[in-house]
Amino acid sequence: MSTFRKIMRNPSAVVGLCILLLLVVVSIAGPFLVESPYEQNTAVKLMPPSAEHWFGTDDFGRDVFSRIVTGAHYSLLAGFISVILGLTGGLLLGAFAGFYGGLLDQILMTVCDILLAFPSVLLAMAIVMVMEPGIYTPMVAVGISSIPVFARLVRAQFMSLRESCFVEAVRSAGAGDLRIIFRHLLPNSIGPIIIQATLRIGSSILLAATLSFLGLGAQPPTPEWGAMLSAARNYVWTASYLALIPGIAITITVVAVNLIGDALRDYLDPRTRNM
Amino acid sequence: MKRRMCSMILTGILVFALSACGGDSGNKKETDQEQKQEEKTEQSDDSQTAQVADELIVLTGSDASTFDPHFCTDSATEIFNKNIFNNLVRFNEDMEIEPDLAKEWSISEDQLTWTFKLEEGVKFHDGTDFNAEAVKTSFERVLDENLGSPRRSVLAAITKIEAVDEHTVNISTDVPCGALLQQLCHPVAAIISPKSLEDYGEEISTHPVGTGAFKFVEWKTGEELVLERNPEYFKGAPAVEKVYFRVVPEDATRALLLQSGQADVALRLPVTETDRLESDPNVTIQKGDTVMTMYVALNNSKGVLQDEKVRQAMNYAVDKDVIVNDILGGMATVSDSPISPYTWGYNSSMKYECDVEKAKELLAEAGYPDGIELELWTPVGRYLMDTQVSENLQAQWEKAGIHVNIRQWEFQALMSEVKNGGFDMVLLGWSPSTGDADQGLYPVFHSSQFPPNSNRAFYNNPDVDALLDSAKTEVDENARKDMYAEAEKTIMEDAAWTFLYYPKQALSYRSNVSGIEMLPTEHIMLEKVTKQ
Amino acid sequence: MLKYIIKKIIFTCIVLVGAATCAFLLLHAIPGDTAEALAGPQATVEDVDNLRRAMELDQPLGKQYISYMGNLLHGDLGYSYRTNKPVMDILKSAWPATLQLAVCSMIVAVLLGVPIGIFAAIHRGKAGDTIAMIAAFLGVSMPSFWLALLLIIEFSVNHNWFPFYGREGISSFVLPSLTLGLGVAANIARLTRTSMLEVLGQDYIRTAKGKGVKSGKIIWVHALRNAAVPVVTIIGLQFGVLLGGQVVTETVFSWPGIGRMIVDALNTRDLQIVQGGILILAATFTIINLITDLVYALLDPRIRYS
Repeated sequence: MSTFRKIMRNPSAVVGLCILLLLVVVSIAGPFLVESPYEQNTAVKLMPPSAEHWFGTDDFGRDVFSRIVTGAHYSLLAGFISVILGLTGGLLLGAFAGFYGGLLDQILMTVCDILLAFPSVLLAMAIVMVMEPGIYTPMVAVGISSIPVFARLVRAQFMSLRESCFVEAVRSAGAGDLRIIFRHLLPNSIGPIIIQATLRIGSSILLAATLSFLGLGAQPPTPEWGAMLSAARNYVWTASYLALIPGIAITITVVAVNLIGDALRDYLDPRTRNM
Repeated sequence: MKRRMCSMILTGILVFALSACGGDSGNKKETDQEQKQEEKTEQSDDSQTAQVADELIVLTGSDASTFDPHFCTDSATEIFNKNIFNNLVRFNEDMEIEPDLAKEWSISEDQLTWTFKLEEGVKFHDGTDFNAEAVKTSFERVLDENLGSPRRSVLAAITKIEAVDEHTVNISTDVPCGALLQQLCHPVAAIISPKSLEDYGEEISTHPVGTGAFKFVEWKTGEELVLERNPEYFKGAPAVEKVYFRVVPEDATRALLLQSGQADVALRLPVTETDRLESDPNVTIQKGDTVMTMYVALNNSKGVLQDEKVRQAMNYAVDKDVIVNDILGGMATVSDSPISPYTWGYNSSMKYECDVEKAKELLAEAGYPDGIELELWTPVGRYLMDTQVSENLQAQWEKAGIHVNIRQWEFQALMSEVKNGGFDMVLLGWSPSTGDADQGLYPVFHSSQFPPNSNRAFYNNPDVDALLDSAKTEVDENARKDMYAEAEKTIMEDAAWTFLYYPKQALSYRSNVSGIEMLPTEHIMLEKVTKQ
Repeated sequence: MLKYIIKKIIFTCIVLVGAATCAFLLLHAIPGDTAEALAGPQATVEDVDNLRRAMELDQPLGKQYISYMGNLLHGDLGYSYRTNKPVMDILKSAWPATLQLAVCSMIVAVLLGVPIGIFAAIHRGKAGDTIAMIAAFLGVSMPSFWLALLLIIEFSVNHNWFPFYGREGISSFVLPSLTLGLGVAANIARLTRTSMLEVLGQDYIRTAKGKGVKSGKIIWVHALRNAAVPVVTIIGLQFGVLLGGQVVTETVFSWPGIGRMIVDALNTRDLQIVQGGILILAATFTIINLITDLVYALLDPRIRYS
């Protein structure tokens, strides 16, 4: 509780958390409050923002405001699901590599380096293409592509703790490997991992949007923000507002997550705590 | 000390490299000038006929693949090849067959051998003579199974090519072939210089040598293709010195470059851009029909779609005019046959006028009064506005109680999955490249053509099979036409697909340009182009 | 030092071989057969089979892999299935475009990022710092393809100042470089600020201040030199990010580089090209990492001996 309070003293964390809460509320309640985001009415297509259509209408005459609201859940889901996936995978790989060291460590870390050598967009694209299309496909792809990032981080943490006194103490008390890993090492290295995970949510949202932008992301007619931007490309001359609003929505979401991540880092990372 | 040595060596290398570069570019300039002078003298020769413009810049959305017409499979590259090579016969803008390298032709009494009289005095770009041997070499190359031409099937009816004399060639088939002339218009039937095949071997794909109006100069992958005029072109040298095909994938960018005068022609602009350009007096938009047809393949072998009534309901539930007018901006015609009006053998069969009530009734008759649920697979970015059309179809079907979920696929993955037959419906296009009903109907409706061939709807009707089989070997035009008319009518009534529309094409160019031929096969011929 | 370098180089080679293998396996797992994609949806089964045989794509995967890796060792990246051009030739024309753009973007990023970071650190806690950091924050949170659209709308549509297509002349570099560079600049600014603050808080700086060394000299000579280590690292790392970011940026700006080439080739399943392109990106990334490591070791002697 006191940790939470301390973090909350940081204004950026408060702002970030408020935005995030608002987004969660919008993505849950929003779809019940707005008119249908799928209703096509070509009589009112490409109308600029007005009192009736706050964010204007798109090339099918669909209300952009409704679409932005309905699309909110997708970006949030993409961010969280892919990070949970990446974190779980990275945690397992990194923990074993860092704890046991030796050949296993070398092999796992070489694999990580190999995967990290590919640009993440390309890696995610390839994974999406390998899998069948579906709503969770891009999220899984983004998650897999972030496994090596987490694995390296966890491993570094474990390496530094492995030789420390308290591990020796626990081990001499008869604790098994798994117990040491999950009950002792993990809680002691969780700080930087949480920071990285939070910051990674932001970049995962961006990567998922990028996939949609390239036509490999969300399934239609889901009003995914990246896909909306992709569609807006054809209208930069005639209806540039279409390219404006989904971008703002993505940016705000990522800003919120990053604010929280930064505040967490300030709190958890002793090196920057006093700055 | 070490450092100094290093820097000295480096400087040395640099100076050397620079001087080498300098020398090179100097040489190039000289040869360029020489060439220009030569060209000038040539120009003055035929100045009495027409003014020759310096350059024509054409913007294309996709880069070339291969300049070996026997291996080319994409219509974007076919445009380039069509201007470098000639066939024996060709289509005009109304899809009528005209002489090309063949002056005239006749068919034997047993209807198995076609005799072509060839143009005389025609030369390939490498200076060798065009003759009957060249025709034989080219066609036999396509037919060589070991070579692996991906369009071999187009000419597969041909069993023998015989050079009777220098300018006469006999082409024989085992059974009469009604669509032979159309097949010879296909880009794969282009005539390549036999010498170039020997000279370049494997590298023929980047060294095209034909008889066409333009010669290949240079291809910078992903950037541009340069062609120059063939002064000895047998139908008269074209009136532009050089043609630059520049690769500009973004539609909006192509439109802008055309509008600002940085380009003369822009290929394949979507209607969002042509609408905007239409008000510009400096730009002309030429619209035309194509041989293509867009449809939703209904899986005739799976679930509720096996029922003809359900398939008819799928057709009645859709107001195709909405798609054509609101999404495609009028750049299409509503389908009234499985093949488009510019395909030989087309017959206006019937239209499924939108009638939501009738669709509901049909569903109820079939035993689904509460509606049905289906999945529609759609490619993304393969056809103009493909996902948009799918989304609109989804919204329209919903009104008739047909609940549709969309699944969006990357095109190649889609095609490989469709083969397995596990889909309900898939949005596709079919473009019979020979412009003939045989190619327009047989591969997509004959029951022998189930996937992995092209009958992706698994449509199976023995009557239609019989009609398509006999029309294939019928040489009498009227008899053939009748058979196709009947087949088309049956296919429409069976509601093999949800028939959508025939897309149109748009060609946009500066108003000082004229004479570009735009064929329904989506080929653009530049041999008669002029630029003021 | 030499031992350290050799060890790093050997490791780099292992990573590269691994990357080639990984790319090969991943690409062949993608559904959609190369021969089918080449022949197009109209081809008959016989056509596709003939083509597959002619291109030796009917060989078992293991055999294809061995011959691919064998050729790779000789520096032969194979031929494009689609155009029959050597992959090396295609890379040779696309690679400079990509590299030039990356370098330009990095120049933009460093020229903007480092001064802003220093500025924020010096004015820590004041309005200037806040504004600079909010800007940097937005910079890292923005999707690059959106930034690209915004730049196009503002500088090409609204004012016809810079072209947004192709690679002709210096002005065509402006918008893509900004698109790629701004995000990186934001990262660099944030990091420069943090490491400057860290260094400025350390004892020897305080001592120097106490001795009466001018504050300008403290910042530019003492502090920046020590703050440079993490900044150099991030520049190295971000260069890799830049190369990856080009996949999207090149598509939006019709830039004839490796990124666009890979995306196009993926769509036609021209796997040799995709593979060559991915390999060269991965190799660059790995080699830059290597260089960064070495520079790092040079700047901070402690690393060398550990």
